[in-house]
Amino acid sequence: MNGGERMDKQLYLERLVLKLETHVPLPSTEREKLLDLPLTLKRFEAGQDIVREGELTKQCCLVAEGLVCRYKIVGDGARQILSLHLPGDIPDIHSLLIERMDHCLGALTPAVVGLIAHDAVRALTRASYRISEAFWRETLIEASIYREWMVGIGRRSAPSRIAHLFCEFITKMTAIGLSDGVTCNLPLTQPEIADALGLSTVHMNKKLREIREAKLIRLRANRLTVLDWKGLCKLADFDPDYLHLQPGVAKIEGA
Amino acid sequence: MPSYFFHTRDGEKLEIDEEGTDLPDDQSARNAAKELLTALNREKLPNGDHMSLSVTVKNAEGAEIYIASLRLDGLPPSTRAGKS
Repeated sequence: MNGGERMDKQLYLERLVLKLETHVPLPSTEREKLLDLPLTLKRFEAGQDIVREGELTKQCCLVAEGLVCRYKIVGDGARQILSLHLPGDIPDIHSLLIERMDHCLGALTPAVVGLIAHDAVRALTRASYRISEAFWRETLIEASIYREWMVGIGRRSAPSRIAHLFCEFITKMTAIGLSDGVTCNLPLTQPEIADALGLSTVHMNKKLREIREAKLIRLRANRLTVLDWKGLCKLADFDPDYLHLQPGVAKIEGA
Repeated sequence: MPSYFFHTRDGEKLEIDEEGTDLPDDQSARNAAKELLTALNREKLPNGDHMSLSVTVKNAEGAEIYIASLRLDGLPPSTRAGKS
């Protein structure tokens, strides 16, 4: 292992700690234990699967760089994107307890993933109830995010769903220090946004145009800028409580 | 993938699609137009008993390749009986 890669691994584990601490602070002893986790780095191309449905896994995937999603393909070939994962997330932490994947994990952009052997995570969670609780909390908050997405797909209008995705994305990016609360990278194609929201691409494009014309956001070359945060939240019916973030970690102002 | 443009008309309101959407072929564009109509219809349903929506699909050369329309007239039975 060269020095650069060792530094990268340190940075990626710090992202994990940062992500966990957006929800609850950890004692420094537990932070150190997390930073000592053994990582194997693996690169993925955009569109490549990281773990496939049906696979039995012996390791967890820490998103180190890039944007990752969970998805399922239905009978007629249509894709539903189930969740979006940013650096610091371990989207398959549940595989520690349920080893067979019931959905796919895929890279939406070129991504670096840190593979952590189940044995290492298990040893850590058994040794530290604080870390065990931190991971448990992560999965509970994910369930909360799923509930919010279910409400969106089931009951919110198309413009509201699109606005909601923008609100959630920039809030999460701000919480992990990848946005200043005004602008952030949003490396999603239009079909990908449509697949996350259960809309057709043409419908999504039409409604996205309306949101732009209402001057709520600017979206250019994968860069999202919030122009009117209050207006966007109102359209989205967005209340960040379901993200269970520590007070003050994601202050969004808009431009 | 070629670009297709979906111009919509909702009653008198015309919306021009200047950005377009990339789709594999004309058949996908026709299906997308029908899908768009039913989605817009669902969005509009609560607002009254009459609606007329249409979509005109143009290809990148500006040629119309498909026009689809949907009309809803919801009337109470008495009104319908009176008209027949």
